[in-house]
Amino acid sequence: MAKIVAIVSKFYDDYVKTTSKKLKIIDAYLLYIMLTGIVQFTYCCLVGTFPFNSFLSGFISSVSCFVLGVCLRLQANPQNKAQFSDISPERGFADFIFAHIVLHLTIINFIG
Amino acid sequence: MKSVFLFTVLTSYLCLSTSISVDTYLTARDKEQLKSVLLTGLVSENLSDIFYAVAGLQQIDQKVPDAQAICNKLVKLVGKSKAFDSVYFSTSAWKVISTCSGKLAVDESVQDVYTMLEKKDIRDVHMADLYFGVNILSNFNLKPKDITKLINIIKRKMKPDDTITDFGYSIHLLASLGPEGRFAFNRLSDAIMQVDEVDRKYLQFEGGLSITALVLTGIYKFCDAVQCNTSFPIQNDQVLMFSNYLLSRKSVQTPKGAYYLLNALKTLSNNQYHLPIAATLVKPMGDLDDTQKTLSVKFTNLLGEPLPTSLSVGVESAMLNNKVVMSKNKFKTTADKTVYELDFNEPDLSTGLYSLVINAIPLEKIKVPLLGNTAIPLEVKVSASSVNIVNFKVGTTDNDQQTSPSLQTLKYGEKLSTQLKADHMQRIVVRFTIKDNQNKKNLQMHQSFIRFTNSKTGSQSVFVAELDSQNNYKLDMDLGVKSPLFKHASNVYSMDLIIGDSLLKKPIVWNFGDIKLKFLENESVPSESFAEYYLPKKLISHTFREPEPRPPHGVSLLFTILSLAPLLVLFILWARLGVNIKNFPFNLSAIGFHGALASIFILFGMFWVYLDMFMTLKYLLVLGISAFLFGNRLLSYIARRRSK
Repeated sequence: MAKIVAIVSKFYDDYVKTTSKKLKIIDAYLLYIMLTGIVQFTYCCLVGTFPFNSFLSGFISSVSCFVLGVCLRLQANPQNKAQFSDISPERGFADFIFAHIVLHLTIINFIG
Repeated sequence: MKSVFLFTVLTSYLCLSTSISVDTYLTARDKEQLKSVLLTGLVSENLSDIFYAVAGLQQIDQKVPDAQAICNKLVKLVGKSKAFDSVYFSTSAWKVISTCSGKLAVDESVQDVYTMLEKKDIRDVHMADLYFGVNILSNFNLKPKDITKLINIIKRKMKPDDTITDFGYSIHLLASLGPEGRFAFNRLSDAIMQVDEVDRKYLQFEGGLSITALVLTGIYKFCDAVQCNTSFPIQNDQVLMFSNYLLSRKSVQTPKGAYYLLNALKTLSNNQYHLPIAATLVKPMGDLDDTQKTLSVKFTNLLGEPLPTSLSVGVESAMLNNKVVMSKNKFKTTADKTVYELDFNEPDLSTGLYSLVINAIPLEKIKVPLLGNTAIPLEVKVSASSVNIVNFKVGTTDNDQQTSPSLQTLKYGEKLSTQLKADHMQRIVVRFTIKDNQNKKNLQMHQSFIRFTNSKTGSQSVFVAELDSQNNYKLDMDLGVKSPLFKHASNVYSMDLIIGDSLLKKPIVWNFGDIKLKFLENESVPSESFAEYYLPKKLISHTFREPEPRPPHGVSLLFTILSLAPLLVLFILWARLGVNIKNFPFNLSAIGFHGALASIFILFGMFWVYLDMFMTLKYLLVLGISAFLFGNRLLSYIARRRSK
């Protein structure tokens, strides 16, 4: 148990020390999205799925935002420079914004 | 025309071989019926109806009720139309009533008739107008000035392709002009060729009753006038077929039809050529049985009047199931001169439908020959007044059929002393035989049923008793299988045997006992009463799908707050990480980009609340382009700043 705590604390220290500020901001955003999704799922389990389309659009919105956020994080991470050599972080952010606009148009259309 | 002629010739030969007779006549009831039809014509405001009513009543020797009122009506109506037909109808009715006081104002019309007869150009003179015009004159005992000229007009107007109505009018007209009309004699057979035959029994002219009667009476009148007695143009069979047609129309409902019917029947019954007779069974199909064995046949003319001679009536042949059962038997005369009786008393005359052919030969010398008096076919039914039901057994047995059924024997008319009992595991067995009272043979009946009547609800279940090869009847019924037909209702049922047949005079309904039936109660369905079944069903109104229940307000609110809470977490984390908003470049592109993004999300909010997709896409295009331009500028500015 103590080992696990030690591992976790080491991991956390490393994260705080080595990860850049920009990535931490994105991570905070991802955490926020994940918590929102969890709350919606809990609601669905406890209360019921009615109205189902609203639940679906909300939950899908959370999942998709999370996926898009992860994509942005991947592209913005300096360590992945090799893979995304021709994509600047700004370009990644622009894609992120564009994808969000399209995604939310669909979500709003579906939410009813 | 040729084919019609051939057809007529062919059918007339066929008719000779099959023999035609008239099996109905104008009964007193029919005359009453026709009289009431004629009386409706008297109240009409139509001159033709009044004439037909008055003339029709004269045919059946009835007085016109309230004659002076009719006369007054004629005076009133005659001025309304100068047409020849209405003047003809009013003057003829006036003449038929003959007791009218006053005067019809028709002098002008009489002058018109003379003018028409003097015309050189006769193309637009109709045959009907000629007929009406000449008759108007004769109604006032006037005559056409030049009869030869009139006959020439008719000669020129009569063409082979005339309508049959015009032909009818022309021969009536010629008949009134005397023997000089003889030139038209050859036209008669032409016209008779146009007749239509129906079922080898009826002859009629196209146009129905009134046209047929008009032509028929015209031919008789014409022959009287030109003396064609030896070569009368209508053959005997055709006369009988015309008679059949006329009598088939005795339920006619118009005064015109009634007048023509009476006029034609009277002509057929009173002429110097022949006398068609009607041979009718006094009771429908003879109505014979083992107690009433005398067949009565009535011989009259078509109007139901007695014939001028007594008859010698004999059976030519009598067949039952294609076997000859008697011949050469003679009918006896009775007190009623028109009715002749035959004893149907032969020993082996069993029940059945007999086909008789009889002849009626006049005993005295009469002026005109009878028609339809030979080979008269008659259908006679001899029915059984009762039958005997023997070997009647009823009982119950178990369904497995291991044990032989315990059956009780009953005599016809008796009733079971004890109530039977049966449940759904058992069968009901009924056996019986039907015997002829006379020859003790087993009989087959058209209908043989066992009826179960629920003593409480009165609902009935009927089952057919089957016939076996020895003509014994049997009902063997598994109650478990037939339970739905009883609606699974356990109760005491009364049992009836029902026997019916067309050759059985009185059907049998025999209540032979009661039975207590027990069905599985759980299958019982609420029995819908007979009356309720036909009541209107409940109205179905449309209902929308009910929304599913929503969670309580508090729960929804809690989860709304919970799903917003991570946003707070986000801001706290960002604050701790130290987001440097101070680095925000306050230039046009930055503000424009963020403004456009915010607008897009506000637009999405509005789309959710009230906008439709098309409006949203239109606005989104504008906002998207501006966001793209501003974003491009902003991000390239940031990229440049980073790379410095």
